[in-house]
Amino acid sequence: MTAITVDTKPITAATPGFWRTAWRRFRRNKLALVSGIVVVLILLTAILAPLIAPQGYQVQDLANSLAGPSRGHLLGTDRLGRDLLSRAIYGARTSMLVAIGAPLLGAVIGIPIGILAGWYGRAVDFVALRLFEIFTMVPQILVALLLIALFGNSVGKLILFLGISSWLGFARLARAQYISLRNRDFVLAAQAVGVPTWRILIIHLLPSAVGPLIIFLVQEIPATIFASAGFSFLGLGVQDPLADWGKMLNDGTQYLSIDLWTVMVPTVCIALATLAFSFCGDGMRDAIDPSSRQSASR
Amino acid sequence: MASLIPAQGPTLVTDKALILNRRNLLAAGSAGALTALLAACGGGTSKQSSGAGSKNALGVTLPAGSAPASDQYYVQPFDSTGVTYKAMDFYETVYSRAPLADQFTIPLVRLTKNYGIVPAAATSWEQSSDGKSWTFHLRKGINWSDGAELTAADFVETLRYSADPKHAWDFAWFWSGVIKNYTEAVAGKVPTSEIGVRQGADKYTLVFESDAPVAFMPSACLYTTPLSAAALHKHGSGQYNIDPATSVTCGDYALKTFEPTSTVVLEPNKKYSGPIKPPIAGLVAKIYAGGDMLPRFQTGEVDTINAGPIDVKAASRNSQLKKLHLYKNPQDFKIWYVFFDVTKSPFDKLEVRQAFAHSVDRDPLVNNILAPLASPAYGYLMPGYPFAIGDELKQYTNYDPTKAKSLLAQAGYPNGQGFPAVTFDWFPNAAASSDSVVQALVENWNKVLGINIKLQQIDQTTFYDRMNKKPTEITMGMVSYGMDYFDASNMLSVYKSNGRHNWNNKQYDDLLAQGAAESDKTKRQEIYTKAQVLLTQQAPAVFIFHPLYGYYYGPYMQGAALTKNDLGYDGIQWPGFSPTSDSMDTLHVASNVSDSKRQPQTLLGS
Amino acid sequence: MVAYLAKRFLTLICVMLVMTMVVFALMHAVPGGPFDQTQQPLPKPAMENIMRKYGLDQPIWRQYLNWLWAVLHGDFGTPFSQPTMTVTGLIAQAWPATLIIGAWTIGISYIGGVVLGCIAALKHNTWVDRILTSTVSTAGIALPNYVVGFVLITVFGVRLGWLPVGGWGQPQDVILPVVAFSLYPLALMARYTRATTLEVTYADYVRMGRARGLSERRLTFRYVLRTALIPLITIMGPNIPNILTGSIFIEATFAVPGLGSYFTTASLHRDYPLILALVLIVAALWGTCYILSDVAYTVLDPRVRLEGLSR
Repeated sequence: MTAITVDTKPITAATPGFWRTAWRRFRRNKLALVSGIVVVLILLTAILAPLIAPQGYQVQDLANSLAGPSRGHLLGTDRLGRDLLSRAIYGARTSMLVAIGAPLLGAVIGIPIGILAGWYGRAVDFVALRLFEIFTMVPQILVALLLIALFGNSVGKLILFLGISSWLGFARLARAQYISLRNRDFVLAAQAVGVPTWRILIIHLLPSAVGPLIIFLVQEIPATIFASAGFSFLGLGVQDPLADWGKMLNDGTQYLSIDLWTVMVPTVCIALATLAFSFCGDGMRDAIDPSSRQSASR
Repeated sequence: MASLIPAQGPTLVTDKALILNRRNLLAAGSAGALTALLAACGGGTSKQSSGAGSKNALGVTLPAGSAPASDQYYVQPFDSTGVTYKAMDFYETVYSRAPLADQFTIPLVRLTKNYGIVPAAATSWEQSSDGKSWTFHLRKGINWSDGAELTAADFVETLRYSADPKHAWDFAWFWSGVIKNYTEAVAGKVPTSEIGVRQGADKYTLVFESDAPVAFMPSACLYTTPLSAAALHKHGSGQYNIDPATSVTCGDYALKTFEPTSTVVLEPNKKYSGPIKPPIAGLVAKIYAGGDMLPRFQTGEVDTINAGPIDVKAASRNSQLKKLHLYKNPQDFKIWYVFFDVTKSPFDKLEVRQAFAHSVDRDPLVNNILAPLASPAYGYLMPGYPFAIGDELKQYTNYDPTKAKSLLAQAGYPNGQGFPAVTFDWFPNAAASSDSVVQALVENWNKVLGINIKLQQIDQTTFYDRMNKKPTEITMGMVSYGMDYFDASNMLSVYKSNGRHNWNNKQYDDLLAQGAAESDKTKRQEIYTKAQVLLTQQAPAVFIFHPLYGYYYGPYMQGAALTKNDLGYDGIQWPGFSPTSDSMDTLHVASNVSDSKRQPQTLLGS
Repeated sequence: MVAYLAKRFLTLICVMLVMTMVVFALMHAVPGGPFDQTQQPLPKPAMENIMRKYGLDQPIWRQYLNWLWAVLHGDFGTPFSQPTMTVTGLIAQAWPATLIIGAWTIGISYIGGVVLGCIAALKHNTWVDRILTSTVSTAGIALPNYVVGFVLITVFGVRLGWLPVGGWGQPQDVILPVVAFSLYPLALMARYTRATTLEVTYADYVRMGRARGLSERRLTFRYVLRTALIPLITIMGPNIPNILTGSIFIEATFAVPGLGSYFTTASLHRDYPLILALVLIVAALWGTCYILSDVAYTVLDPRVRLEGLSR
């Protein structure tokens, strides 16, 4: 322990706030920083796709079906002769939109429910738990089929559907965290002092609870891509000819015996994004919730 | 016999769950028994590699170059994804027939490999002078395995059963309008005993009666595979044929094993007394829940596989498979076409439909995506199908972008301006590469016509439900049709009024009615030519392609059944099994099977 | 404890009941039915005959009650897709294969994942950690199991010929599907274990233990691991029912005649009796899983009391 020193200088500036400190910690973590840059690059690719891609994503060239890399097509072509590089770039758009949008939606819905269930317990918790159970048990395929039948299809509806399917994970995690946190001393202390409940929940407890939630969010990103690929089986979601990494992967597996590029290109893209988001997420969690402070929570 | 005695199924089974798997035991047991059976009845020894001149378990003399009788079995793979297996007979269920169905019986007629009709259970048949009835004379001496003889009563009872509302046959449209009172019986309005099928002068004479003359009755009678009247009465349904203990057969084969999730095995019917003489004495169906078929063929697990365009490409990269000949034939003369809802804008305008018909460039599609297993379709009937015409239709459906654009302009949408947003519904069908085909089509139309068609994928069940609804819920969709019997009246009837689609044209209906009743072949050709021209010119659909089915056979599967027919197609022609295809009388396993990787029967059901 | 468990199971049964009603309504709301009409459409009377035969012409509430009554007598009906068997027979035949693969997968991925995650955490920031985290765990998460499956089949089945390309019945058939299936949960488990173990390793009470001279090994097993496992239950517990009910991709790729494919195909083919039975299985598994994990919390975390016993 360092010796306690008294700072005799007058205080002229506020001490760096919570977020500032977090940012500093993040910056120091090399891996997280690099990953963060990759994430930004991916997002930029998604946003600037029409400017970067050599061709449109739907330009067909049937004579060049399933061709390997060449001058005109740096990563080869798919079954319809479309440039895989362009489709990968445009795919970033759709995939990122869905893969980030759906988990965020899930988080926005699920975390408050989880917090309330975990904090208040008793009746609220009981109802929430039963809701969790029912939601888990209803087969997603039927819901998807019904939704397509009733409302048709679009990327927006896909996000909605996937988001609603994923709120469960967030809610359960948040609930678990808050159940263990609510009995802590510092919580009791804050209540004794008269801090309003909402402040306790959000400002005091959230930073401690957020660690596993961030990891979960980040892990949901590739899971969402695969889920959207799976549902494209049924026709829910990204429609042809729109490019989407998950769909490209799904479609490409038909051709595995004759062409690897149709599968490898989206796989590498997904893996890259997964890695980047994972390390970035780890870094964020370390920054917000440095391991020296937190002990394991429920 | 040493080399042919099977090892006893799964060895070293230490996991209890595996041991107790009834399926494995049954399959291993059956495999062993089947081989032993064939060997015992065959009488040949394995030392000789030739069975030529000897008899197989059915008493059929094997042709020159055959392997011994114990090798004369045929193993086929079946992919069970998306299909349901309920029964073994056409008249029990059509859509849910298990593999190797309809082999416990013999229909009235059979097909040759050039699609001609030849006698089977019936030796001869004639139409009455007023054309409204057909009389079939049955062969004598064909016995069921329960001792009864096959007589007209079996056919009569089977057809009555198919019309029974309680049975609720899933193919009841097939005889509606053909057999008298059939529709009424299905609706419960008359008892099934009043349908127009009855015994004639004696028990070997069968009479079909209709309200109007039916010229194509013999063709339609390909699928008159009767159930045993006695068994039908005893069990109340045709389900007796899925249990070896109750199955009754008058065909070359009898049921040995029915395990719809793994295998179906047919053994030779020792009591067979009929006219059909196949060299192949045992049939095995291996049922797989998906997965790649090519490796199974390469490792000798199965004797044949169906190959799609991807499989063909994959095979061309494999040094061994490259040498294998790819057999191609049209099977059920299928057509894949894009249909329109002709009551809704913009497809209610003839010019719009014709513009679509003239703006499809079929060649890149067929030559790049589907090659070598498709041919472009300019008409509904595939060339080679009875009464099909080809070149006369090209003027209505050839690729002519200029004409297409001017037609669209005539319809009021110059360069696609003002064309409403259209949704193209489709369902995935890997065999037809439908995902690639629809994307190519839509891109094609959008570019040539300057419009914006959007693709909408739905699952197959929802698709058919929507399409079949009256009024239909699909504005534009892609679907296929493969024939049910060999006559133009069958394929063309898809576009009859109030049928599958909502294009109702009285002239077309009249032409079809005339064609169905007309016996003279030349006159029928005239009628059907007119009908096809009308259908093509009115363009309620755009015809895209006719698929060809590709097959690889082990080099030891030989016989005239596999060689080219008059149209240049080879491989086993439709329907492709012994009671219905006479070419199966030539299919045999050749003596070079000992050089091949063909796995012994023991691996059944693994 | 017994009273608690009894209460939980009773609640579970009520939830399952509600859920069957929801699913029943949902099934019938989806367009299409179990009967093909891919050739020419059936005339109306013929269609009516079929609906009547399977009891589908009755009002939905009556169909539900009929079904419920039968189920209470142990009769789950016959599946439309395999009417030669009963639903129970079908499931009994298909599930063992799935369970075998599932059990092996859970064993390998969960235990292996915890071990790898612990090692990575304890060797935090060394090369061991980096390799494990970046390669193994991310590869496992980012690669879909059908791609892995295809690679395994091509390498080990076709090229090398060491293992069968698919099918079921021999002990070797279990290996490739399990490997392909476990990669994802293994990677996931490893990541989470690493994260939670890291958190605990630097906790005050652990540092105190270190300062007082407890061996790293003692610390790990008695204190760190126990606490680290707690959030893992929340996160990885739900995966268990998923794994035990199989994956359609794995079963299709390796031609395993298991239950996994039925979950998808039953819905696609509107096989109502089968859908309901499968849903009940899933519900029972999930419900039991939740109950067991709640009980496990009390074992692992002494601060937690079972719901209702204290605040």
